[in-house]
Order: sequence, then structure tokens, then C-alpha cells
Amino acid sequence: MTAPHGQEVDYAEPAAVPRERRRRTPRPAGPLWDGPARTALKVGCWVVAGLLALSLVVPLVSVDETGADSPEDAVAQLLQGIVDIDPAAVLAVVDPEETADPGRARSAYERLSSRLLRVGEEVPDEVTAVLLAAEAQLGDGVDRRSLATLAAVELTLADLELDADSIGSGPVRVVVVDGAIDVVLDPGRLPAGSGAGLEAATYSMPLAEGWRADGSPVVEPFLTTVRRDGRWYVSLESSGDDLLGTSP
Amino acid sequence: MNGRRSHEVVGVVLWALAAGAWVAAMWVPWFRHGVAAGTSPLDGAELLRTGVLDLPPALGLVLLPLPLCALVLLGIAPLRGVGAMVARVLLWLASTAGAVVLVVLVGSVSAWTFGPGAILVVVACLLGCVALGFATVRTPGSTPPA
Repeated sequence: MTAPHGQEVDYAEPAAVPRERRRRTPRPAGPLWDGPARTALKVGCWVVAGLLALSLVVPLVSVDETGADSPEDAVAQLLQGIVDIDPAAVLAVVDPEETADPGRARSAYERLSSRLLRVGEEVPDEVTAVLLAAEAQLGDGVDRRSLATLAAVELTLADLELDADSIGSGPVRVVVVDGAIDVVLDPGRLPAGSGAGLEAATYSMPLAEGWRADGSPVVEPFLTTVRRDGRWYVSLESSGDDLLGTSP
Repeated sequence: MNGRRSHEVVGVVLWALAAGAWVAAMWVPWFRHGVAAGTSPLDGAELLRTGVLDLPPALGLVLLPLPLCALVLLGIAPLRGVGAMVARVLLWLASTAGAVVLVVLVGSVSAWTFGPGAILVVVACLLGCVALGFATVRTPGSTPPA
């Protein structure tokens, strides 16, 4: 083929740039570093990887110490776990005989939550709406919407005061003498759409008063704790039996 | 320490930091507010194992690939050669893809729910990206580690 100025060009060949000139930076000629330092680096990486793997596996296979040092501590930890919406903290202080059978623990909790009711000051509509939505969603299992709904509510445990009341040689009742759960709702945190019409709200739920069991007169709130292997746990079944009467 | 050695060591440290951040994300909560705000993925896996949640215990296995990839990445961080570099890139891509899916899931709940765990995995992805870029940079008088 002939170029316009008459010079012949072979287009089958790539542009005539010498291969050695394509490399912008020449490879250095020096030797790669080796020796004990490099071996230590390689071994060190695998050792650290192994230690990290252990740090992940050990918590999964080991049995953490659960329960509390005293009956009051067990109830305080349970209430704090509820306020933090932290299932691990809650389960750590519930009677292991009950948590070993998830159905048993769940039915004991449902019995308490459905029959032990609050009377007195009304909860703001905004707080009720969000908590009901969260409860309904949580009832069908945790999903993204229920997580988002609960993320809009800030719960705080304030001025908790407990008093242990021994009943016989075994279980100990822990009476809630004072304290409140403060609820702050920030509708701006709700997922798009679900916050429509809701305004910021605060509510303080006193824990020591306003409880009624199945239409009966107001009851003194307490939880029953049991001792297992030297540690104290809250028994949901015993609490239900003591507050509501022995279940059939 | 000569230029080649420091270049290689910095690359290894970057990969190791990325891997470490991915593993560390298993120890801290991923949510800042609401449900499980005090629960790390490890705590969650433990809860799943006990069976007290209404979820299949096998669900805990979805947490496994991310730290597993990170640990292998840490182990092969100092290795040389094209094969080692390809393995590092593939592990980084797999970990980043998994981390992005998890972070998007958390983010789709609410921006308010982002916790330290979610932030750590994003940092790890970026560190891996920097390590990859660093490995391909060729400076006069040095070669890339791989």
C-alpha cells in the first residue's frame, strides 16, 4: 500500500514503537529481599490469622458465664437488656432451664405480657403507634421495617431501685420500688412513609406503679429469681405464677 | 530498609489492615440504635446457635464467608507472584461484594442504624482498594510485591 506522499506503508505491522520503549519505568535490577525478616513476616501473618480465627471460634463454642451475682442484679440486667433491646443480654439472665426450651420461655413471656397490664397515665399516641407497629412486626419475626421502627425510639432506664424479698429457701422475689423507662420518639428516624403524621414525643413509664393482673386490683410489681449453680436468674414462669396464679 | 522492601512491607500491612478490619467487624455491633444495637454478629451467631430466636441456626453460616476470606487474605498477604496477587484480588472482590450487600441491607433499614461494624467493613473495602492500587504502582527502583 502506498501513502499519500508516495512512501510504502505495511499496515499489517503495528505502529513501529520498539517493545522495550513501551515500558515506562524499567524494572529494577536489584535482588528481591529475603532471609529471616521475610520468613518472619510470612509466619507472622499466618500466626495472626490463626489467632484471629481462634478469637472468632472460641466465643461460639465456649459457654459464657451467665446470670448475676445477686437477685437484684439479675432483675436490673434484665430490665437494662429490655431497654437496650438486646436479646443476648436478656437471655443471659433468664432461667437457663426456660431458655433451653425456646417454646417454654416464649409462652411464659407471652403469658406475662398479655395478662399483666398497665393502668393510669395514657401513653402518647405517637409512642403507642410506633411500639404497636414494632410489636406487630416483631411478632412475625424480625424484619427490616421493624428494625427501622425501633431505631426511632430511644429507651432509657432511670432511677431504678429494687428490693429483694426472700420467699422460703429457694426463689427470691425482687420488688421494683422505684424507677422508670423513659421513651423518646424521633419521627425523623422512621423509614420514609411510616413517619407521616407522627410528631416527636416523650413518655416516662413508671415501673413501680400502675400494674394490674387480669382485672384484679393493682399489683405490686416484682419478678421472681432463682439460683442455678451459684448464679441468679429471672424465672419468667415463676414470676407469672406468682403474679397471675399457677398456670393450668 | 531499601525501597523495594519498604514498598512490599507497606503493601502487606495494607492488606493485613483490610483483613483485620473485616474480622474486627464480627466483634462489634452493626446497629447504632434499636434492636440488637448492643449485639455483634458473633453474639447473633451464638443466639442463633442456642435456637431461642425464631430463625434457623444455619442462618449464622452467612456470617462465615467474610471473616474466612479475610483470614486467608491475611495469610497470603506477604506471598509473591502473579498467583498470589490474583488470589488476593479475588478474595478482596468477594469480601467487598459480601460487605457491600450487608451494608446496603443495614442502610436500607435506616441511616440511623449504621453502627461501628458497618463502618469497619467499609473501611476494610477501602483499605483493600488502596492496597490493590499500591501493588500496581511502579516506582523507580522498586517492583510491585506481586
